[in-house]
Amino acid sequence: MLKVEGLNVHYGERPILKDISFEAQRGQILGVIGPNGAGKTTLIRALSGVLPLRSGAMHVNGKDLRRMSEQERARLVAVVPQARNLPPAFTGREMVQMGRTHYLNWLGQLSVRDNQRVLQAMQRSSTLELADRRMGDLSGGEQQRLLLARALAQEAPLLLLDEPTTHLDLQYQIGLLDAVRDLVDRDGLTVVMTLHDLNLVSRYADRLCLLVEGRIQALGTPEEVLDPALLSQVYHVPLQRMRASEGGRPIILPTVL
Amino acid sequence: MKHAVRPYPVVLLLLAAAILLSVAVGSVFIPFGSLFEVLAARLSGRPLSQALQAYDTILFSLRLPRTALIALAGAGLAGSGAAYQGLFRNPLADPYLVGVASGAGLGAILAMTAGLTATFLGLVAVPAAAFVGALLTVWIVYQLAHVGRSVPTTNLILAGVAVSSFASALTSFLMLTSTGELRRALVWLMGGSAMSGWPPVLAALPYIAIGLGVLVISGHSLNVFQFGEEQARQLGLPVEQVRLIVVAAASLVTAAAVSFAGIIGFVGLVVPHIVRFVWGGDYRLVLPVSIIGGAALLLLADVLARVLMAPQELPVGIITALAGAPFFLWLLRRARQQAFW
Repeated sequence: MLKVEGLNVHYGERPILKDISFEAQRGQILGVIGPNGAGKTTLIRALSGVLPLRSGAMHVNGKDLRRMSEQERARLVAVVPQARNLPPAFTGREMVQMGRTHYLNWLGQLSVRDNQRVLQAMQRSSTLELADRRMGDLSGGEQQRLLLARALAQEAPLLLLDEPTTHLDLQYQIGLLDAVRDLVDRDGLTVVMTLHDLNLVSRYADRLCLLVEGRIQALGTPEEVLDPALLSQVYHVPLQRMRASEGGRPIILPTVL
Repeated sequence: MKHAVRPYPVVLLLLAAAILLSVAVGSVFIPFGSLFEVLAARLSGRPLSQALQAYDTILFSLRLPRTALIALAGAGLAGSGAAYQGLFRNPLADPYLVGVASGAGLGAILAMTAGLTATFLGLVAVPAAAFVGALLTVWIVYQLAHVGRSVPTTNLILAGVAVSSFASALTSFLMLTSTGELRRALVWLMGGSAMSGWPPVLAALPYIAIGLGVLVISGHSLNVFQFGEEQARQLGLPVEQVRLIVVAAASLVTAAAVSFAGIIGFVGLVVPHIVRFVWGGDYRLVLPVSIIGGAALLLLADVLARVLMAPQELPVGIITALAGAPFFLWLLRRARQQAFW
């Protein structure tokens, strides 16, 4: 579905992403992990088409993301950014309506179909009760859910999430990720998501990509990538692996010395 | 969004009142009764009495064209102010702060000192020169302020102020060295409408109407811009294209307003802020309501300018600055309790 080959991104002369290649399958969540500064957010930005690439190719369903207008790309790729510095004056509904930008004419008028999609996206993300509230009056968790709704309104098959659970309380972290999992399972979306919480990622991702200093260090199932020896070396702290239950998902914890 | 008062009835009523005052008040006051009699006579083609004939002349050769010109200028300045604020995501961006008005002023004064005003050609050449000046200023300010593809607020303001001062200094210099046009240019610079009659109205109308038309339909794009350029791009907005179109339209409008009505400050800053403060930040509403409100406000300021020191007329720019600055500060203090931007 998403195929990335030999991606190189520089900020100025400084290489940030080096020779990144991976694939993400339909109906799966690819979790991107790695220490701070590894290039996780840069990867999301590059995939969303807002960064110039040094080299490399990105295809969604065989279509070249580099040779596309913003409108065409927004139909294939939707981004859930971190909820920061959002304009406070818009209501929840107005915010989700912006997810339809690539379908609108210059007047910015929404058709009946546009409004249906907005309503649907808000239902799927449980944000209907936020429709008439102003962004400035909402909590970080509520804003993050509206950002998810906005991305869903884009009707794109590929969803990119950049640390969607940062600043959220635990119940909202679980709530948001449950919603994402549900979308992937029911609607067959493809998700690429950065998360710094290894245990959340272990719970929700089908495959993991470990980025270290702009390179892919490991790529595979959570079982393969969440290897205590590998992670201890990458994060520079001794880590150990436990199990959520007998034969269940791996849990990574700092070793008690 | 629910609001106690609906925006369009309020601003339209305000505009109607302002127009009525503007045509009636001046060195000769036209009573409202006579006003309607003259209008009715004109419409039905009936001959007028001796007394009304004088009113007719004042109304159609002086008051109406002036009212139209001031309304166009107010609409243009408020509309372009709202657009610049939306585009740069900066509450302080207005035609003056980003230097566009000063650039337009410099262009216009260059054309005026070349002696072009007296001819009909001047009606075309002055706004054209102002438009070139305005676009050149935006371009220079952008080149100075941008970091990569974004324009940080502080850079924008600093570059805008610097370029604006430079253009103003050049304008002053040109005025000092020119001879015949000095008085006229001075009045114009202080925001006095130096031109009268219908020709300037007809000359300004197409620029302002086209420019404002483009801005009004850009409301949704400006809404998306509020999330920042990166998110706008991710949401499928052709960012470069929108920015180019909005800057060109807003600069065209500013240039036309400046070349025909003089340099009038604060309208572009204050009006969109009032609108946003009362009715929220949706640019599909902020733009048209600011445009109507700007016309009304500048007309009222112009009425004040005519009566305060009658029979002498003050340049309307002095009124807008004198009334606008304190009002703006008051608004700023009140707004602290409430994030309306």
